[in-house]
Amino acid sequence: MGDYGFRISKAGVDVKTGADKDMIITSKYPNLKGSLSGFGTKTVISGDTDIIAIAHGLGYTPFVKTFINPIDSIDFPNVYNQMPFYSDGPTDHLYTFSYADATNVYISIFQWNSSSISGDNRTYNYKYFIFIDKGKL
Amino acid sequence: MGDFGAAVSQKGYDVKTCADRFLVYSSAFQTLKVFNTYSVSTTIPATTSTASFTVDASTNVFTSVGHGLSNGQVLNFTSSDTLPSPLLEYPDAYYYVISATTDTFKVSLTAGGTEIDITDAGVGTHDWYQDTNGIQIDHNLGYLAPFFIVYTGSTTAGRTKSYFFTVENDTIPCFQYNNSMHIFVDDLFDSSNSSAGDTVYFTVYQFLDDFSTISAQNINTELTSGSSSTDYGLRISKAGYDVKTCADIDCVLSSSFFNQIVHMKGIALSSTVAHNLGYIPNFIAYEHIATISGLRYNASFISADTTNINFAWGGNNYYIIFKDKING
Repeated sequence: MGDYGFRISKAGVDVKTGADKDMIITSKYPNLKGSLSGFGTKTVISGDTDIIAIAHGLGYTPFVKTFINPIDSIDFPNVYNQMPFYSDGPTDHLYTFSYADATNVYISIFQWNSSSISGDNRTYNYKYFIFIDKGKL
Repeated sequence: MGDFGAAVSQKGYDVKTCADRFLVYSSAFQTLKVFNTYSVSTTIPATTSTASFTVDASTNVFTSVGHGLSNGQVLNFTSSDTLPSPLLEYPDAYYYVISATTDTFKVSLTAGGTEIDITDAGVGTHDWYQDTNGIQIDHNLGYLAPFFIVYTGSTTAGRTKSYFFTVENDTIPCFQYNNSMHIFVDDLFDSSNSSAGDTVYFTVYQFLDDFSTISAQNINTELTSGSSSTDYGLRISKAGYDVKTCADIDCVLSSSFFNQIVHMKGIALSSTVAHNLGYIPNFIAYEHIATISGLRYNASFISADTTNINFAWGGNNYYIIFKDKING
């Protein structure tokens, strides 16, 4: 039986003969489908682990992708990093990762710094993407 | 000249005027396609062993008298000075035992695979460690492709949570080669929540796309659009599913959900890649380890700002930058 479906190729690639990987989209292979995304800011005291919970409403454990941005770190630049992000600087230490269950997505941020000049707090921006695709099959 | 093609916007966004990043699909941009998803498991090793070894570079044979190893077991190596070339020290590579006899063996990067061609005997004292179990997924794509790994729990911890590329406070050792990807679980895996002998479970998303270059292009940048309360859109179901009645999760594509549209991708020859989006984009990137021709997920080594994605060190690192904005 023929291969029925939907196929759109990249510019310059013959849609009838091109490889699947050179398709813009093909009904043969699904895309990850984003359900919810969000952004937030959290200040964490040195030595504390703060866990941010985000309700996703899916009723099952979804696939999640997250990013962290240390705003005022002495050692880590003000850029966005994929999570999990684990790094030890001369002064600042940051261990952050994300996980999900059937109810929430969680962003865990543990920071410890030995600075006596800038204080014990550090502030972070975080970004999350929650997909309807399952994290646990 | 106008932009010919097809586009589908997210719900609530005008398809004619919305910014590129609010499109679910556009014939101008590629999307990330899931080749396959896998539910896999292995056990946390309950016993470990170690011993010293020598290697004959002319035959690729490792000698370690009475080693007790079996084909398919996973090893990592350390040295007091320099390992035999091209072996890499733990944790930069893991190797599988092949051609085992009572006192000798060879190694490969894949179970039952091609033996590593050893080119010198190294310097100093070398040790092997058997404290790791490996999961090998043979996708047979023939090229390096992006992947995601989700740790979903263990016998002791239960299976109620999923962790992206991590077990608490540690990145999961994982490697991608041209035809297979690998997850490695050592005796200390998830030690806070799990025990030796536990079965540990993973979900793996293996993507079809390669890292051939797509240069940045923009159609509409950073524009907002009028809202719409009507749910018009596009829906394509997976093979075997009725597009009118299937669950959203069984769709290949649906305008009800945002998509990871590719802005640009490729292999970075330097430590920065300019994305020219004017905001900080969603991205995925992997460290390329040339010696083993493989990719490793290493989040601490890559970051993004409003101009570039940045690698901690240069040298053929693989990346995909999406249209989604992450700074806000």
